[in-house]
Amino acid sequence: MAPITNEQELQKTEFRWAMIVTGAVTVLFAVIGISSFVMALHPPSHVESIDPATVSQSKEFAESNLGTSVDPDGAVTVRIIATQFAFVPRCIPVPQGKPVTIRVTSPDVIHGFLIAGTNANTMVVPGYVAEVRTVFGTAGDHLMPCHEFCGLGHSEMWALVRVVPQAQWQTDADGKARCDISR
Amino acid sequence: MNFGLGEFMSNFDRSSDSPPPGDTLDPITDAALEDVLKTVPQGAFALAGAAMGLLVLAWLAVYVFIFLARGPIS
Ligand SMILES: [Cu+2]
Repeated sequence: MAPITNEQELQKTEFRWAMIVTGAVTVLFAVIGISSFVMALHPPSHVESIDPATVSQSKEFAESNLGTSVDPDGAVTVRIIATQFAFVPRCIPVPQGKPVTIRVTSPDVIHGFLIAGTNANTMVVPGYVAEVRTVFGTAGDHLMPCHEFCGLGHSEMWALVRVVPQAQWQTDADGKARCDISR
Repeated sequence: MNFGLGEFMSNFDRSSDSPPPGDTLDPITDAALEDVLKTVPQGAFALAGAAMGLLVLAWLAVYVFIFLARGPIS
């Protein structure tokens, strides 16, 4: 390229650069647009309210109903209570490669969770049920820490999501699956 | 009271074609500077292009190989 020597050439250069920048921004927006409209990828936006004072007496979040359950039609639902300073239950088994619905609520303060190595990540606000649906592709243990500061014990607040290969996936007669953290 | 602020400000206001006293020994003339500036856009093009290209590629790599690879959520 010959040295640019006059004002007009400089303006052309600026115009070219503006086109390149516009192109780059268009690419980014196109990728986001395609994934949200064609692949229907969008952040969890489930809104459902619940009385935080009576969470443990509710039918769905009663202690016996917490954890992983598989409905007769094969749908997998995980119900968790996030409370100061623990997730109940602490070990959460899920089948590998199957759609899983995670439903979490809090009886006290705002919590949140993310599941390491996955896109599952949401806040857990008292008065609401947070719902995230995803498919776990990699077998193994995934750490699930609370990611909203919820008090002095916040750093101790974590659970473990155990992704179990289909061949080893087991449920009891009620369709419940359980696991233990051995350490 | 006078802390010499007036003199300070007048140094700030000095236009570039009257170099401050310290710059009289500067061997670069205005003409030479002008000459150099004329060829700058090519280097700027290369630098900005490489920086932005890498940024877009890195963003796409994170999006495709981490975000999309982790599977959809809803
Ligand atoms: Cu917490």
